[in-house]
Amino acid sequence: MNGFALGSTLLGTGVEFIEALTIVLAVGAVRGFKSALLGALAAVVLLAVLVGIIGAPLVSVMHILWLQMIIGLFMLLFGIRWLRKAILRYAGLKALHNEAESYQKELERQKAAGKSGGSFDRFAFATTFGGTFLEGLEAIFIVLTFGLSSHSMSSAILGALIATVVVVLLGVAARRPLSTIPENTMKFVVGVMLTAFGSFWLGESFRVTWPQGELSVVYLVATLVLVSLLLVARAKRVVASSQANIDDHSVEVHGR
Amino acid sequence: MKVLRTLWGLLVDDGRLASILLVALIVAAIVSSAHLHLLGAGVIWLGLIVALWVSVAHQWRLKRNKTK
Repeated sequence: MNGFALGSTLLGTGVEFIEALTIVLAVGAVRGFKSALLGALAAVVLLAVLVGIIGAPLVSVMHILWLQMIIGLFMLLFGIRWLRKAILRYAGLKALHNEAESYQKELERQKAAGKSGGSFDRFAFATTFGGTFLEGLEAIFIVLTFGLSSHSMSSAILGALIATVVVVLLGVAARRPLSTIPENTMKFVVGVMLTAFGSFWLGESFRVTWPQGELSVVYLVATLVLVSLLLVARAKRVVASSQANIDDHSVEVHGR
Repeated sequence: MKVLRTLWGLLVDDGRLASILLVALIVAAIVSSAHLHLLGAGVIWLGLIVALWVSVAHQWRLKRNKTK
């Protein structure tokens, strides 16, 4: 047993798995856990098959930059669209989504289509599949790098397995509290997450240098939250002054 | 076909947001290929903020003009 290989892989893959877990939890909480988990599971199975067939040369076979570019662009486009809508809803520039009404509509739509609930969500599947595949691939690179360099592949694999168990337990514990968060807040969080990860991966594919590496995702998240809060505050003031204009006008009309 | 329609829907949902983002990404790719890797990250970072700000500001301007 090699402690260095085990510890390094545990930490390295742990970071990658937490990033994947964040995407799965966020997308699952908004679009449903069934399709989100199916996407993540499909990615894990595909990676396992690839490792089984190709083995260690997988590192040189897979062009991670292209994967980062395609998945990053997909996540960035969807994420920023959701974030924009959540900001507009918070600011009162767009009506808040009526969850009860949309649930009833969806139920009626499915009844009319002759379907029995729990439909498959392609967006949730594709997003968690992409995120898990990319993070999983990076985790495999970490295991292979530390396993081969320390000549102790079993220690590196054990480190990754421990990280997997810890992150899965974290995910199970975090799932219930997430379901109590209001829909627009959840969409805001998912928008921020997908935008941050998407732009980070796109940047990686362009070979930009992110300050402090993967920690830049945290900085991106912080910047997006700050800018969004400023935008909401500013837009709320505009909405309030517009409403005051309408009220003044109606008082003038009634006063005549 | 449905994928293309979805992507097109994303682009036309707000042309300002999509175009500013696209320009920022292209500039970041060019700058990074010129070995200014840190500047590339900065361009993406700034592009996100500007795209969001311009897009939301356009919406509040529309709202303000409607009530004048």
